[in-house]
Amino acid sequence: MKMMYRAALLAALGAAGFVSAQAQINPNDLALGFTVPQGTGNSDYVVDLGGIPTGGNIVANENTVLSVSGFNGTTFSSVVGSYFAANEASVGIVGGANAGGTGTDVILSVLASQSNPGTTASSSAPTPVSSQSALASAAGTILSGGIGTGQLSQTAANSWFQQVAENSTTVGAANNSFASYLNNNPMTILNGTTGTEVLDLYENMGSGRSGTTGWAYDGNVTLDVAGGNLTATYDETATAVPEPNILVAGLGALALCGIAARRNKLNRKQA
Amino acid sequence: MKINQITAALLSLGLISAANVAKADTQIVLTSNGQTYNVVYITGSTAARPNVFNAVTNGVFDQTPPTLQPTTASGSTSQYNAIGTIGGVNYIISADFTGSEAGLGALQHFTTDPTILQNPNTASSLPGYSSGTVYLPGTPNPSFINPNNTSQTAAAQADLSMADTSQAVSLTAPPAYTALKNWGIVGVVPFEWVKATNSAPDSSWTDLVNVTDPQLNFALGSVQAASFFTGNANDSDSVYLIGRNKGSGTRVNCMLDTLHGVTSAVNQYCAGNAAYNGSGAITNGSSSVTLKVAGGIVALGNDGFDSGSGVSGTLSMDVNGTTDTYGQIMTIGYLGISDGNTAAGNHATRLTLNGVPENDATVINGTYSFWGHEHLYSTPSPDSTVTTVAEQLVGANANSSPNQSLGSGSTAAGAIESKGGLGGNEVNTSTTQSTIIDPKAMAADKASGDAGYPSQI
Repeated sequence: MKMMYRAALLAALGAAGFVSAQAQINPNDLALGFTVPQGTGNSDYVVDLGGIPTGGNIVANENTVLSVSGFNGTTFSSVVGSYFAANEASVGIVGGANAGGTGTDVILSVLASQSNPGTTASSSAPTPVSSQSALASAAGTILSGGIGTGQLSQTAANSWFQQVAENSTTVGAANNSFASYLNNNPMTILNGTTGTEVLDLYENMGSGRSGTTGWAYDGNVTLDVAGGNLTATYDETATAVPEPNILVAGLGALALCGIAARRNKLNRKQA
Repeated sequence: MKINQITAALLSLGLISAANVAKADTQIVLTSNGQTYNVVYITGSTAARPNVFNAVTNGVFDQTPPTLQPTTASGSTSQYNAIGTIGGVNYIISADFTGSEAGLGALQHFTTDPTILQNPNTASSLPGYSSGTVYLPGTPNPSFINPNNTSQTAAAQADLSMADTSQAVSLTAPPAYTALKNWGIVGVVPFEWVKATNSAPDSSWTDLVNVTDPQLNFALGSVQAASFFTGNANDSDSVYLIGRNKGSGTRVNCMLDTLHGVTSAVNQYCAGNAAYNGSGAITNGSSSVTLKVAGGIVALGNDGFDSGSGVSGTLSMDVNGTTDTYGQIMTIGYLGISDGNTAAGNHATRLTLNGVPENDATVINGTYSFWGHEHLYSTPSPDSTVTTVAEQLVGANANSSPNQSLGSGSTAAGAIESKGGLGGNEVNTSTTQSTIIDPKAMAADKASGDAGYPSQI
């Protein structure tokens, strides 16, 4: 009876839907990872921020709040806490897809200039990667269970420490990792004083059978983990297309001007 | 009594049908004679299937052979029951071989959503495609033949699993997952790379006779031009990779040998006449047609075949006339030796790896690296009936000191060692390709378990 109750509870939760420490990163979702120095029993902490916001509502300086629904402040603090205060924790964002050809895609973070967290890149673009296979292989390290979410033991095969990078200077501990495939490390030291960082996001996509588009600036993410809480806001690149409601408003204003002009013309004729 | 909680949950979700679910017991009364039998469920490696069958039918039961269900069961049969007595006690060894990783995952007896065992359909163009949650076939629990009604199967929690690698390098490795009981190394299982035939060979096909692990590392990431392998700039064929799903030990060994990473996603392909079966596994259509007639090449992404027969079937298809944007294509894939033999029998060609051909001699002396340690695992605290069967398979001392060595240090001494039909002890090792090699015959080992490359011992 007890077992059947548990089974029913699982069913109610939705076997495929509930968040666990082993959840998978979906293609092109932004994975936010925190690591601490290597040590017995030490862990990483990974949060799935969802995809980069797209669509007509996204404009420069809008600061879209990203989902951190999988974040648990208590667990995060237990994993990162003491290292965070000592400026020994690292943070980075990765994402990607490995569907081949133009379906190949990698996103990684570079520390932005703290004085200019605006809508244009305030960092140097990553080291060029011209091999589509390198992009696909890098994306492959984080997809389909390559890395999990939540607290992950550094020694677990699906940890950030193994599959992405150990810290801001060392690639992942696995034979090949996200950072080693790309010869670019997405990590930076997490500011233990302010608890905030601005990370620029760069994207490189597949082109043709084996080529790549090169790195392009996507926007930036402002992180705030002060007090063991996490907020992440996304700021679109300055070249974003204005959102439709602004266009509509603009067109409406033009239309109103037109109507007013027509009325003036008519009024003049009637006068 | 074991009630499968996950199965019950999936049933209530409608993810699996009631017809596939049955209560599993560790004891069962055979209606044919009214006697009670201990039932031990074994799953895991399909590569080890023939050797385990030899051992079960010739070296485990008091009677040789035991009663088999179906009576036609052979070394290539995945689901069967072997019924008889061991030490005068009634036993049924019920087998469902579904792949090493699936087997190790099944031994976890998950009580929460086993995300790691999910294996979503990836090719929406194939018949049977489902966008819902799909688990690796044989997980969370394998299905075994009902000994009282052999036309039925029922899901049950596995007790034992054969694995082509140690658990330490598997998808369900500790400490993230429960450490299983290791009953030791029972053999060395080799694999090989094969290219499909082209009845009108071009320079790409002719030139591509060898692959290297660094090349394969990137070929697993995305399609490569043949010139990447051959060094000839004129070899412009695209090379597509045919392989297994993540439930496969063959795949894990491939990921280890190429250093691609066990958990890293890959880009693999199948023929256009493939389809998803009711368990969500990719199955081949006819392999007696050309790849072009079969509908060309279809991207599977991180998925692959649940069985080596799917890979051998695809590599049995003549690629002549199949093209992509860049012209004629090629297909290559990784296989166990038995499936490689099938493909080679259909005109596929074996490739050398790092310049070395696969045969017993090159595996034994360590010059060929694409192989794994065949293990037997059980749940962490097996009961006495499971222990009895495990000791029959791998040796009475395995419970206290499982074999960890190859070569003269091997202590493997069970039915697999004596009756399993292991290779490596023949005179002509350089012309023999055995499916599993006797651990005692090895003159090389991999220092860090299954990862890394072999050195002589």
